[in-house]
Amino acid sequence: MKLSTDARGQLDLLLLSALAERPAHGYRVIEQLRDASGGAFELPEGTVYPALHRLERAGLLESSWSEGSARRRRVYAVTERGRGALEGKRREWSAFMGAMQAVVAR
Amino acid sequence: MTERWLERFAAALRVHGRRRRRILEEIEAHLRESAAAHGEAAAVERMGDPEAVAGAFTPRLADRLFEQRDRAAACVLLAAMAASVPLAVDLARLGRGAGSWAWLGFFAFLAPTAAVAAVSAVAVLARRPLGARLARPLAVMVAVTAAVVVLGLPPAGGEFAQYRAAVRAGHDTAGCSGRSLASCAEDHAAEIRLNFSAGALLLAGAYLWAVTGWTPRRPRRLQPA
Repeated sequence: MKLSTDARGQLDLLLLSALAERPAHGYRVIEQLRDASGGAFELPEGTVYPALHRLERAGLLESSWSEGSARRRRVYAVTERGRGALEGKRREWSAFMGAMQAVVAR
Repeated sequence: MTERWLERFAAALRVHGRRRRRILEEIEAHLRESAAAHGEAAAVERMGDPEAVAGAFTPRLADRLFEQRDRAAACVLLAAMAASVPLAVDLARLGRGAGSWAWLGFFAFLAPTAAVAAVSAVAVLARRPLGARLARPLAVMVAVTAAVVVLGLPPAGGEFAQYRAAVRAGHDTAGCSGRSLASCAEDHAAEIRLNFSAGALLLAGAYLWAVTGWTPRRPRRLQPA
């Protein structure tokens, strides 16, 4: 199995995982990742939006404007295709972690 | 500070049209929210270098071509109109030769649709919103025109009757060898009516999609967290 450990692949996995729980706008996704990681994932915020757009172009996310608050926000959600991709990325990540563990913990 | 960051970001963003407006609005909303929570300086710092962020939005070649699909469709529309000029000249020539004015009525019927198409295409090329606004009326006008032509309703019916008469009389008989002129006249007229109507409908539909992004399915509203 070829393992993807590039930064883009990891960011995609993080974003898809965060959005798989519930739809959210970009700012909320960043906060969610920061909170869930105990502050370990301080993502450069400027990298998140291009990634969200790229995932949407790839059909893994869908989005629409939310008019709920004073300011319009673009809300993202994982598509069915995105959920399939997320499963694949999770399996890949588990395999990578297992391989790392086997080497590092020896 | 936020304004300055947004200005630099907008200047460096090499994305156009609807997507550009969306990115600018989305990024501004983020910065304002972040500034309200952490202060302007921190918000700008967390966002990163505006030129680098804008550069990350720059699409690859395939994406850039896709984003220019409205202009490509406008060019195709203008080219198709130009390509139909020789046919129009032929119809007018045959009509004048037979002493008929049916062609003039037919052209007057087509003129508003052609004018709307030309104005829309030029506006799209100039990135004017009018181009997209005219795309839907244009599709309706083309559909009505195609129906009139295919069904042989006036003034199209008179023009094609005159055209068939001209072919039967020995004019414009290219491709008629081995067939009676009457049969050839029917074939030519049917070919012009059906092919041009179908082509115009397809082109108008593709143009509508390319220029407005219109598709039958409406996007689902998402609930934020």
